[in-house]
Amino acid sequence: MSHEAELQKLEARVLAPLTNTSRAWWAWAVVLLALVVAGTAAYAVQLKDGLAVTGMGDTVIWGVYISNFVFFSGVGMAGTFISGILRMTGAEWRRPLTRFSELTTVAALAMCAIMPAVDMGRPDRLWHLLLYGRLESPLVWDILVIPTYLTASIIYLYLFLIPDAALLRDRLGENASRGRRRLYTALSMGWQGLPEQRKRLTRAGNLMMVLIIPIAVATHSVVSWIFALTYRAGWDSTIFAPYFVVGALYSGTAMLITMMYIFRRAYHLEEYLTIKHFKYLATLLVIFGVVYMYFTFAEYLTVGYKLESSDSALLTELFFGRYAALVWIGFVGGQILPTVIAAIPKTRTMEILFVVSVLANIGMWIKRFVIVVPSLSDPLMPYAWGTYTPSVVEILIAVGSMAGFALIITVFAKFFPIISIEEMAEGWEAAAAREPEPQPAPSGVLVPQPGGGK
Amino acid sequence: MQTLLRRCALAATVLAVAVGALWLVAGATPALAEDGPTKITIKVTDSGFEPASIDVPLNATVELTFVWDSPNHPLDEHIIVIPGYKLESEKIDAQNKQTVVKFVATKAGPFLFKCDFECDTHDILQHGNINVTAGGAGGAAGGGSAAPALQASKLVIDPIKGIVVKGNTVNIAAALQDKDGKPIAKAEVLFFADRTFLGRQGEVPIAVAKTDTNGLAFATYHPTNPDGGKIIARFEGGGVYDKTENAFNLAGSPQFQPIPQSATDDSLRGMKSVAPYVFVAVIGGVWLAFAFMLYQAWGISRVRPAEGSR
Amino acid sequence: MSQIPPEGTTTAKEGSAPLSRRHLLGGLGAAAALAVSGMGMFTATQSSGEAPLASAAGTGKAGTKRQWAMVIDLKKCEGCVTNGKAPQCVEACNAEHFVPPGQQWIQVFEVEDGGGHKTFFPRICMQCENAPCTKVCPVGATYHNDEGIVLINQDKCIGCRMCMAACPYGVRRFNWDKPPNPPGAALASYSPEYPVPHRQGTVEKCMLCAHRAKDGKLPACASGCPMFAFYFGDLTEDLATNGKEVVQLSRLISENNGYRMKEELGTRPRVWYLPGHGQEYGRGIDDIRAPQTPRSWQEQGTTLDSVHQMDAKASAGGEAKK
Repeated sequence: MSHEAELQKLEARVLAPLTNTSRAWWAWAVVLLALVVAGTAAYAVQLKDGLAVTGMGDTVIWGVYISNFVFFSGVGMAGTFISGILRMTGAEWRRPLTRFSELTTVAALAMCAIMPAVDMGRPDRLWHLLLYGRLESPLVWDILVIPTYLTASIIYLYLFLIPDAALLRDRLGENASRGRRRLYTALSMGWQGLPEQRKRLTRAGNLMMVLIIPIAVATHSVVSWIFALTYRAGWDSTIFAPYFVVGALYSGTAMLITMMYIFRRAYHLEEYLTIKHFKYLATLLVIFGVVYMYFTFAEYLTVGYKLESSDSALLTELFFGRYAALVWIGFVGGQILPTVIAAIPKTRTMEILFVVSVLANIGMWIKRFVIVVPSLSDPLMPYAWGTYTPSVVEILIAVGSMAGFALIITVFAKFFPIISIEEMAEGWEAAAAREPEPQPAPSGVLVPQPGGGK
Repeated sequence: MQTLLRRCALAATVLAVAVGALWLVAGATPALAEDGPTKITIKVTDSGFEPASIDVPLNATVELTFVWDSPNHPLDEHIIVIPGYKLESEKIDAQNKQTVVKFVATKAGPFLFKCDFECDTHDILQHGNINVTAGGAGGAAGGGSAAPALQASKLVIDPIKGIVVKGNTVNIAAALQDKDGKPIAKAEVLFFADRTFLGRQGEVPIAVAKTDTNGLAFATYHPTNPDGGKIIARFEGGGVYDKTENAFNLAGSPQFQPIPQSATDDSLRGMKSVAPYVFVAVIGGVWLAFAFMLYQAWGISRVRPAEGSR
Repeated sequence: MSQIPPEGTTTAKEGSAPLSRRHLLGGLGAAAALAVSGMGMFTATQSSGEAPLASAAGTGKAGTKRQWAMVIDLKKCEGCVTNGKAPQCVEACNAEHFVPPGQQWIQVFEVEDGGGHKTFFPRICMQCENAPCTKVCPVGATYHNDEGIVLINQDKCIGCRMCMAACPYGVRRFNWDKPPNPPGAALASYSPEYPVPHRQGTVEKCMLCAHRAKDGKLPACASGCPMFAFYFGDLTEDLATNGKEVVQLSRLISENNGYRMKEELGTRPRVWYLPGHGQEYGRGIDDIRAPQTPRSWQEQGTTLDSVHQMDAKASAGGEAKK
């Protein structure tokens, strides 16, 4: 089959969900929307009554919101990072993965950026950050770096979307509403696949895929420094930045496997998202998982060997005390099990990898919670250990943010192809160039003649 | 009960001073009580004090003579202290075999005396006890005749030689003399500055010094404001002498500047002052790169088909 | 006028002394000559004991700022168990600042000493020179004033609680709920030095009674303490007072083995502790009595007027002591 034919098939497969909306999609979207509305309502309650409606107190001053914040920044990290690295190294198998990797990052970072604002005691004074912001504060680093990463991810997503938007503009025709067509026309920037246009796109894209990697690392480093720049036991650690970065890669890779599986099933992309992609991502998951466990070991060894009094109290509570269940579930279920299963060839089936990736992310959420809360409840003065149980409002907001994350992806996938058609075409073209076929490759790949090539 | 005893002792002391003054007028020998001091000789041997326990009546004037007696350890040296009375003897060794410690036993109870010098065995062995008991002649009955009379003493600060100012440091030398103008050695002299702080006036202790063999006590005072003020040297008497004090005025110095204290001193300030600029430059550079990319994307729409291959 | 004893009176012992008196006096004399020639900044004159002070009035002049510090003498702190009251420092603080219920800006902890016995430990804000809280604040709402006190501007605070995470002493408190304010507080002029009325969603803590210090008054806890355990001092003038006596701050700390809490962190607190267990008031280490629960300002029935009266009384007392 020529790559022209391949392309047509792909187009048909990928563009179909954009115009045909199933009842299941609506049900899913409505459920997500309901959860988001519930979360927003919970936030309205919190706005009215203040943070007193949460389970936080003067000892455990941060809870689910900040855990969620770290979790989302972690999930968001891997998508663009992996897409950037794979693009840079020219890994061919990346082609069907890049679009939804980047999408994951944008959706997760959007949620990540909301969480600190939700946690704030005086959200009405957010503008103080602009007016009085101090560069010495690690919180301000976050406030500068996370929007930077979010912007970078959106630009990155958009740049490689331009040719696809042009395709949608040209292909959907009467199938799309006027507003939609306008949207595609505006986003496509008059893309016609001209060499000069291609040159400009490549120039911008190449710069971004290089730039996005340090920005991603910086993002998760500054998130870790919110904790590591304090004196608290369990936080006061020099390896926190790389520890968080690796944790984010692990959690983000797992999220990609989850997403890949869901899209494959929901959008019938079996031909494009194959077991090969699952195995490659599983390999990445194993690598990040092993490095993460190594960091975990190094972190706990250095404090556990010395056992300074506050560290000793914290470790006791973590491993044998009130947080033991969470810690061990998170460690065994969220780190060891997924890593081992993903490493064994026999268990590397799509279904098992999907389950494992979900487990890994549940484990990582628990891990974030276990980083944030126990260190805060470790008493700094001779008083009792702090206690923290999330309130209904907090849980609703947290669930709402998860739903929001899924909703952004769901809605985006309704408007844009979840596999980059341009990039796939580019791949086939390149393959064709390497193994010359009888037909000469046409130059304007994205605007093929109707019915041509078959 | 204790306060009662103390009051009686005080009354006895006052009486004694009065009687002593009368005697002075009469031309009699002052200073010591009628029956003279309680004299006790204690040998300091290799195996400890002999005797190791002595009894002394309350308010008696006591003269303890310590005699060096360690022929087997000719290099041993001792200084005997009685911490309960803040007393310290001269050093005794093979050459200077005797020292006398004089005090008035104004406090009842058992008091430790020991060698306070760095000698090998004596920390363990050289412990003795003085039991001051109220049952003696000068007890609670308040018999004036047995109460001790305190010797006169005098504290001298020579404003020319005794007070030296170096920058913001004031060195003070105070000379302690007995009634005959002889120096009193090994006595504790307290120095105070009369200061007012937050509306409260008080004598602020600034130094404690022991007099040397010449009766000199040295103290260093660091004024902390430009005002100067009264500086007081005081000798509490040590149970033998009268309480005595002397004072001088330190005139203010308008040029004086206290050492400035900073609440935000930071050794890495220089580095930290550069960091924000670097940080802002990096972030700014990244956003410039964003602008460049968006400009490229916008540029796509500016490309005319005629310039292309088709 | 008496003199230093003449040289002839030296004893035979002099030779053994490390520095002979001759040397010492010679040195002093030379220095004295320099002093007379104008190098010295202070001059001394002999004072008869009763002579009035040359310059007794005025403190902390010459353009230097006060740098407030606190020394808490634990030898004097017996947790108010012997007078049968709740810790008076806490109650005084609650009344002075209308501290929101549930918070204690000064907290009396029962801690275990080295030997396993209980002692009391009143903890205020340490007023660190290298303060972790002021460093992490994203909007500069918490800061040092020019007298070294760490303050919070509740009009600026965005309630992110980063400072609470950073503080190694756990002194900071957050107004999760709407804090009750005394009647008339709305009209009170708010300032970071006297943060009344309290605001929801902001961080609060002990600020060493900056408003009282400005008027030369002791902090509320210090004047409330019946045991005079709190010495409020100025590092620049190196003086401190507990309301009863005036002492040299540096000497007070050195002579009593003063220490600062978590010194190894390098925060350089301006609060020192003198170790002890209330022994000056007869509390033995075996005393098992625990401090009572202090009353909030509402339970004490404090109003804005009563605080003003208390202040007036305190300043009147100060006048009387002068």
